[in-house]
Amino acid sequence: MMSDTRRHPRRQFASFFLPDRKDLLWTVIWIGGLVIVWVWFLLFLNEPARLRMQTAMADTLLSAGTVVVSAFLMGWGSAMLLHLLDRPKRKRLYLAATFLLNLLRSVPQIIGMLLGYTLLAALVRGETMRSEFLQVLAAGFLTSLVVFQEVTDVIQERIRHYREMDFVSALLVCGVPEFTIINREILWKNSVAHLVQKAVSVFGRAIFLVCSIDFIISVGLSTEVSLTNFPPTLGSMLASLDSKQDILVIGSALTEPGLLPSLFFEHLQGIGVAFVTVFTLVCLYRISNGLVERHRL
Amino acid sequence: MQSLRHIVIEHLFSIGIVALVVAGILLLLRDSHGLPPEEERAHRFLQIDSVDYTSQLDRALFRDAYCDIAGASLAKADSVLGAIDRRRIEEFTNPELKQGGERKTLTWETAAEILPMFAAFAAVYVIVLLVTVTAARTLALYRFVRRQSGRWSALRRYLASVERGGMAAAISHAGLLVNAFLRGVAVMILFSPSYVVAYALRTRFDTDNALFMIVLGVFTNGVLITLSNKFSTLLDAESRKGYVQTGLVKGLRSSYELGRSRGISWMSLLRPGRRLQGHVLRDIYCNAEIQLIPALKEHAAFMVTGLVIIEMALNIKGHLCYAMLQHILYREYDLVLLIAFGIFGVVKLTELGADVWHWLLDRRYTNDV
Repeated sequence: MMSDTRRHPRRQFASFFLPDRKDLLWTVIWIGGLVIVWVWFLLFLNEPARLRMQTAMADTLLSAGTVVVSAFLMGWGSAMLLHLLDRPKRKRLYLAATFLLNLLRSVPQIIGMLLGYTLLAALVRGETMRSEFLQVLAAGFLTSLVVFQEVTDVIQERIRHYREMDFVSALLVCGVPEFTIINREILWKNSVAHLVQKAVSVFGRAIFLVCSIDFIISVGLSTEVSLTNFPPTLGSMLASLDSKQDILVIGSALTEPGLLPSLFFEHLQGIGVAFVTVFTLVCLYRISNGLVERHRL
Repeated sequence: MQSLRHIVIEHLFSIGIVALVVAGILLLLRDSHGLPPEEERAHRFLQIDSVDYTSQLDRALFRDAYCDIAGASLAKADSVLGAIDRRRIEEFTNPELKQGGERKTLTWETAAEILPMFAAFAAVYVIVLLVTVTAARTLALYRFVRRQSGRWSALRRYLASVERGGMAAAISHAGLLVNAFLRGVAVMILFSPSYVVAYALRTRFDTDNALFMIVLGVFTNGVLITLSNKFSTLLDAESRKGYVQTGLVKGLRSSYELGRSRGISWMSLLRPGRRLQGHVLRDIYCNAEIQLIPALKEHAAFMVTGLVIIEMALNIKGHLCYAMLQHILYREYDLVLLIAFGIFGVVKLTELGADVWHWLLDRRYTNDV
């Protein structure tokens, strides 16, 4: 890095602002951006809306975090199972398991989630699941059911990549169990970058899906599950009447530029929720991309 | 290489399996739609117009007639009357039993109502898929060509010019900053969930039409940028391979200047296969394209997800996913399953198409001796 900037002194200034480690840069931008937005809310957004916004953000992040953990557990489990079945004697079982996974992959995520949410709504209505914390976790778990195949693919691809290499054969000859080789040598020591990149990408996908499903059920299924009996997320906040009216003003501001300043002060709730959602999605995409570039994944 | 027959059978088999499961659930739902025997009997007695169950005389006549005809005891007849009363109360209080509030079930009529909506959904999806793939390919090629020609981003160029020329350059090159800002806005729109963009434009545009849905389907939800990025990564990976150097030694063109005769013409970004003859990018492109096709299968489900979100979030009456949401609301689960199965079929057929396309390209490039 140093020698590079010495050879190209003109790049020094630009490189200070735009370093080559884009994943780190975008992580800083994301966190910094959220802090700035929060300070802005502190100054200009009324307290009840700000508190609701904070809860919604925390719920969304918690739900997306649950998706990542749950998807990794399921992805790892299914990859190990497939590896165990990938033997000539168990060919039929292997084909059946692959077939089921492919089948699950073909179900559009939102359809799978919608059917799952219908079940979740029934549990909430029947007061079987009262705790909001549990509801957020359950929503995350449901989402992970439609995204875990991505994790399975990455783990399988890593195992396939290393399986034919000499060091794997050498370790097997030394008596190291196959699962130790896979988990310690292949996944832990040689695939952390791939897994971190996948975790970031699943996190982004989870935020998008959770927000979208909450928006849909808040708009379309309001008599079934209302905002009052489901924990608030960025999606359900966006679906509230206040937020929708705030967002409608963007269209008006396109033709009446005089309305632009009001977006940042008077229509802060809707604009803020939309901005935080989109900004988070962009930053997570950039972080994931940065990891791909840096590690040449 | 898998045979074409094997590929087709595999996909049709999975559609068949899911169809069987769905049919089984539909049969179960149909059975559960029936009323319990006592209520069923009460419902049938209520259909007799000549009996007024509020009249004491009619009730006494009904009790005697029931005992005589069915050979039942008075207690049994009272129990039937009780069931009739409960059913009558329910017909007044339960909204689902009121006229017009009955649940729809899967019949030929309801299926025929869904069919045109499904056809419209499939047509919009096919258009979105074709436009997205073409746009993603063009965008990825454009980004790749820019990278190869060593062109910096507008923001980086601006910062470099500020470093060179100080405050004066900061003002004179403000255009680059505007360019960077507009690109940032464009990226934000590409990543926006469709409902944010749709609501933002609702006051100025008619959002309840197919054209707007196609535009949203292509340009929002991150669909376009994710696919283009995937292709761009594949192009990068291919460009690092050894055959590129071999091609250069053999005299293939390698200038990446856009719009120049010896470089890359703008039209070749739209139709790269034919217009890049003699350029090393053609080989890179062909090899990356064949790897993109399996990725298309992954994206098909996500593209459908995007369209479902658009239809549901915008609440456009008469569209398939709006109808699905309404059926969920009224717990008409057989119709929900039918629609979900149709959407699954669309994804599966896309996967079949992608596999056949991959098979055709693979066959072209495989040297079977």
